[in-house]
Amino acid sequence: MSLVSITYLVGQTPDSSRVKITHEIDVNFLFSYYQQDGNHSAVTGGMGSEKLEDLASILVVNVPLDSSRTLTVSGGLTYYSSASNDNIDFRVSSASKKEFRGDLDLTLSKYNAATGTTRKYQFGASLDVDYLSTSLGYGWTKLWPSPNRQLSFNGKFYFDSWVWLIYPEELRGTERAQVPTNKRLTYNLSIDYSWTINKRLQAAIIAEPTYQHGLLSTPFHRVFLADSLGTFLETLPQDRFKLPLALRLHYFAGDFIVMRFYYRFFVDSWGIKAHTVNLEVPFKFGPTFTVFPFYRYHTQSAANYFAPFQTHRFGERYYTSDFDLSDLHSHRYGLGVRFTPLKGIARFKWSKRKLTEFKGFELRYANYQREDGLDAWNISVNTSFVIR
Amino acid sequence: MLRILTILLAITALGACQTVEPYQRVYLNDEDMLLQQRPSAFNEINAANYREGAAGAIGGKSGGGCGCN
Repeated sequence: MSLVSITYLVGQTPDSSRVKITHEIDVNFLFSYYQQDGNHSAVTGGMGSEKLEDLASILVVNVPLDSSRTLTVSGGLTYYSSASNDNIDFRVSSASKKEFRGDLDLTLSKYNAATGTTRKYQFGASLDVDYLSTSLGYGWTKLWPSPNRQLSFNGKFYFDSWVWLIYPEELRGTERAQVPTNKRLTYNLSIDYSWTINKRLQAAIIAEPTYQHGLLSTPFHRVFLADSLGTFLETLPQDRFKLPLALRLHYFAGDFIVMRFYYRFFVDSWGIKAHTVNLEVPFKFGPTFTVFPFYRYHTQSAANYFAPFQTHRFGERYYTSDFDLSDLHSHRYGLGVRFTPLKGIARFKWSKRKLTEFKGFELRYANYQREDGLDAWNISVNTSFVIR
Repeated sequence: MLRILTILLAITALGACQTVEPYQRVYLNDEDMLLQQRPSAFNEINAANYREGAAGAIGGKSGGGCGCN
């Protein structure tokens, strides 16, 4: 039996302290394919193809540096093909526009056994063809063993900028092709309190206030007015405050079924109010194999600045026909399977001293339907390895 | 819905602070009981952040990136 399994059986919580015992390097590789289609693209003013394909791969490596510090390196590469982005420029037409996005995230965690606290320092960057995002973060977590409670604060600052401001083709060089800035700043604080209610039930409450300032519209999103005055740029306020509040309840019913319940209330300064409910029910077939169906429902009111194709009036201060900000309901449902052998399989050595062991995999399929006709599906495979 | 949230919070608060000994944690330490999203759901969460006006308090990114595709 591996040390990982032993730490679980003796009842320790699965935190970073587990790593310092085993000195194992955890490796996770996530591959995901996403596809969507709809007919309300914001690039063409709320009317037009939203066809999109997205292939993402993410590698996450946890390296214990010594008895208390862990370095987590996460790198991702995404390839996407978007029919709507192709319509930024009508004259140079192709089936769809293809682009890459890369991101890298480094987190250093330091666990203090005397105080039961963990501090995290984070740096991240991502680059699209025309968009650069960098982030800095700091986190603090305290664990109380009896009764079991955990409190976390995670603050993050994002500094984003459009490397190139790409406007709709017909507006380039005109006075309508203007935005006040190419920068976007995001201040994010996540507060997470979790506790054990009894030996089968635990809960968490999460608040994540976020403030954004800068260019919050997209410079190539078009708006067509009811007055038929040609193309306008999407225009949105330069400030937005968002406040999501969530409750998570996980209950182990019987010996083979877990109920994972999640509810979120969301409100922001643009007039959106939203409710999201997610229920996932993992069924356990023995100690190594789990099947988990899930269902998610989301409803939201529209942003104050949203109106569909050719509905806005000239003279309004803000315009958007982005249906992501519309009054909507959505459903997501799907199925996942997980296989985690008690003792890893497929061991192989890639050096004299290092042994790599396959820990398990998780396969997940989800179907998404939005009320306005946007349909999407997603398939993801997450594989885990351990190097010792 | 807010009323439901208040009721759920009240229920969980009432049952809080029960000490569970290490030998009683066999259910709580199960992987499916971890109070976080599954790694395999990462891209679904990202997609929902882009396709809906609400985001955050679920794990994954809550800022950064243009979300413009």
